[in-house]
Amino acid sequence: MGKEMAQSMQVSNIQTTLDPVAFPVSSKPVVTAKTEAARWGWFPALVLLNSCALLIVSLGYTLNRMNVEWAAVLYWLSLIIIFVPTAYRLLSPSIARRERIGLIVALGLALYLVKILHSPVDFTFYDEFLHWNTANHILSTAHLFTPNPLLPVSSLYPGLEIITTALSNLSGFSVVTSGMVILGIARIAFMLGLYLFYERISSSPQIGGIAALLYTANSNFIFFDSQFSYESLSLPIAVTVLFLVAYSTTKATGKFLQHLLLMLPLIFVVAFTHHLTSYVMIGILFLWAIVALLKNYKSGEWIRVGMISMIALGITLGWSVYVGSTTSDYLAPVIRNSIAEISGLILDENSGRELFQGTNGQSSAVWERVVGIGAVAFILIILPFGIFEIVRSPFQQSPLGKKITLLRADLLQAWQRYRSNSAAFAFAIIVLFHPIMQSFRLTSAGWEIANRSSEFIFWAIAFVVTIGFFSLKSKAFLRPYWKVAFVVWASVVFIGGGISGWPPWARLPGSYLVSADTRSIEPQGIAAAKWAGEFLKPESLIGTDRINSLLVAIYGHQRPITHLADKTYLASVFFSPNFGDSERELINRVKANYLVVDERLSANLPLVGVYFEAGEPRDKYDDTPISLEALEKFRRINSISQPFDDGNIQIYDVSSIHVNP
Amino acid sequence: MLIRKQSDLLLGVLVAVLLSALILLDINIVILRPVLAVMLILLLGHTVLTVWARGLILHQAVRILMSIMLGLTLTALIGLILNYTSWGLTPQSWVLLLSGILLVHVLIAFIQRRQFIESPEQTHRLTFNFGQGVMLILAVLVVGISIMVAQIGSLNQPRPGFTQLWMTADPSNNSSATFLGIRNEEADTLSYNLVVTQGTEVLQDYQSLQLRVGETWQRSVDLSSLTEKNVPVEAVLYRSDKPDEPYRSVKLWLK
Repeated sequence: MGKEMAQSMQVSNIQTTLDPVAFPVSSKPVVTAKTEAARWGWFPALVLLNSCALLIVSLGYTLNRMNVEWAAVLYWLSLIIIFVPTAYRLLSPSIARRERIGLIVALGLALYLVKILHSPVDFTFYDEFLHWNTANHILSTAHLFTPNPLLPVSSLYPGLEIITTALSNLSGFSVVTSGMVILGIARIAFMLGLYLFYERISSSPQIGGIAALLYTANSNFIFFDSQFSYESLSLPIAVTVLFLVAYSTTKATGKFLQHLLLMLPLIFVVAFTHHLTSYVMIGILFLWAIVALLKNYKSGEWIRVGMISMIALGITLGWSVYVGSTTSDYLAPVIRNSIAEISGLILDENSGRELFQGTNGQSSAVWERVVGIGAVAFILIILPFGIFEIVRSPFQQSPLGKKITLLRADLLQAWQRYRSNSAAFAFAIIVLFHPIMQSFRLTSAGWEIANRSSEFIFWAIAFVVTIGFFSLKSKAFLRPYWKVAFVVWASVVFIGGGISGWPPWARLPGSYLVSADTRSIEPQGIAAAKWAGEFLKPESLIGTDRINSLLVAIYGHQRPITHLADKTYLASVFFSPNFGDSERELINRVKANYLVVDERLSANLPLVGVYFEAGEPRDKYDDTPISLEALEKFRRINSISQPFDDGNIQIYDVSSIHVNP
Repeated sequence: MLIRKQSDLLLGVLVAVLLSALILLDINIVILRPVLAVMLILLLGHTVLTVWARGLILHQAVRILMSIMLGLTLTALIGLILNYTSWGLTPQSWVLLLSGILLVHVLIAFIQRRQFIESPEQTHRLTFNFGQGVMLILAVLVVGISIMVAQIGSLNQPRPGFTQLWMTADPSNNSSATFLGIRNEEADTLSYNLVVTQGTEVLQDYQSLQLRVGETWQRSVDLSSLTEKNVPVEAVLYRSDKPDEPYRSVKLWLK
């Protein structure tokens, strides 16, 4: 390792590995196979270390499945092993560009595998089932847009599912394996795109590497954006679009229209892969264009960015209006409820959400609370320095590059060349939304908005805090400890992101928990759903809870009844202690054929906050589980057959009710 | 020299032809087809970039990024187009269209490269020395072991066992038969007794049904002769070791 480090230090003097556009070199140096290999620096060693960390996390998952209490320690240990050495190495100003890129890609892939190892056999995350259902519909019908009752909007934004089923059709792989492969490839591109984008707008490989590293600290990076869901694909594509915009609006890179042509497929696919990502991407592009207009009018950058923004807006609006017309029905209630709850909090009308506390009253460990809050505080402390540097320099007069003493002369020139960097300035504006979004975490409805915004706002935060941290390097009191301070700071932010993004019970696989998404997916429910697939007529209308809805759709090929698709809340049929006229009327209204009743629900409160779906007749502050008597009442009703029983799950045939109401 | 210079294009042709042959002739070679499928998508991106980015200054890392992204996004767009054709999104339509587009771009790229003098591109050999190679191979092996450990852990997770009991009409609607079934998913082989009644009348009595773990027992019974519609047919399952305690029960109202 030491020898390779020394070699990589020598190689640093060559610097031919830089982007030739951002960092033009006057003469081509002689490159031998030995120096080519030396440029990899620590990369092979850190990849090996990452793989060992993955073995540790894998053991942690397995031990947690066996209810070993300290298994979570292995999970956190593995994350630290993956993150810390890479962070330390990327701080070095003298490593070759290929090593930086290699380390960033290896980091992204290792964190992707942390998720894959969590559920290595099948998809088990809630959102994954929603998109798995759309993919199954494409495979079974050979066409798109078959309505998906689990998430109607999913079938209207089928980008991920098209590519996954294409690979499935071509390779013979299942949807699960194809999805894992496609998202693995997308993750490589994501990390590459992030690095190239940050490098381009900062004109510094070092800043590019650190910013890409810090992006992985957003609370959704490890699990949410690694799952089989449309956002996991749309983010990498959107980042590539942003990079291409930065790349193409530089005159030196060639013909703008040719770049635009290459960008078009990406813009199209973002538009029909994920609504939210396309909206955010367009917002950033417009802000970028406006900043370019105000700050850098003469360069004409605003015209090029503005043109791309308009094209992206046209494509996205076109898709939203003509195909994804129900998107607003899906997104609006979440936003409306969040704003109402925030208003109530300000007006002291409600008490808000208890931080680090689950809906069943279970609190996170003290260390998790400290690190979680510490991560937010650490970001908020550094952000002002970054904003200040971007507004003040190098984008106006005094180049920040002069303070980054480790950058060499040609880098400083490049930095100055981009002193009117509109993208960086736009990011400085975007991070101002961060404190506002954090306030949403204080509400139940707004928590999702705050959490879901992190992967977008972190595009800006990662860049601005990197600039901020580099600006602090010039402070005399910090200089001797700068590297250590950065690694500790970044590690707290990274671990804090992991804590706030995913609840403790969902991070590691384990025994069955009530209404706990991934922790509720287990063989008994799957076996019951498969039985339904074998013995019930396909696409029978089935009323059931949140988890069994997923299972009967995927494993049973049945049609679950949901409020999103059927505009009827069926949950009260299950909650009611009696089976009276109103319950019969509800079943009759949706023409339900079967009810799947899982008596395990009565054992505990739902960990995700609901047993069935949002809007169920249960007070969120109610601390008593759904009653077993209510769930068992169907046994006593004349004319309701019960064709299936496995001890926990019963299936009732209620078709006689709408035949003879 | 020519072959070496056009090796990427030749690889594209090889992948497109081989995969088309495998799919159209319905030959399934376990490893080969998935590898070719991934390569087809990525090579599509590469060749499209080669043709359409001609004259642009793109560094190697940018080319890799764009090849991946164009491969994925063009596949999505092609899927959208296939949706509006009568073939739909089938293995045959996918491979023919993707391969066709790939081959057309290979041809154009080939002509372009012969007609125009390529501007020297800055490319880097991705070479590793022996020690680095060993570390990377070890890393792949350890990741493989990690996946195996996770899969074994998932498949062998300790869970409570269960027994399924069912009584339902023939799902195919081809007969008036009713299916009675038991499936043992407990931790061990179990012996069951199953009693089918209507009111006080015992219709069937199955004693000492031995089922191994994962084994299913199923019988077809004809209930069409029963005339009483106001009393349900009930099937109650008992474990032989607890013969007085109903273990599972199902019921059927006759129509």
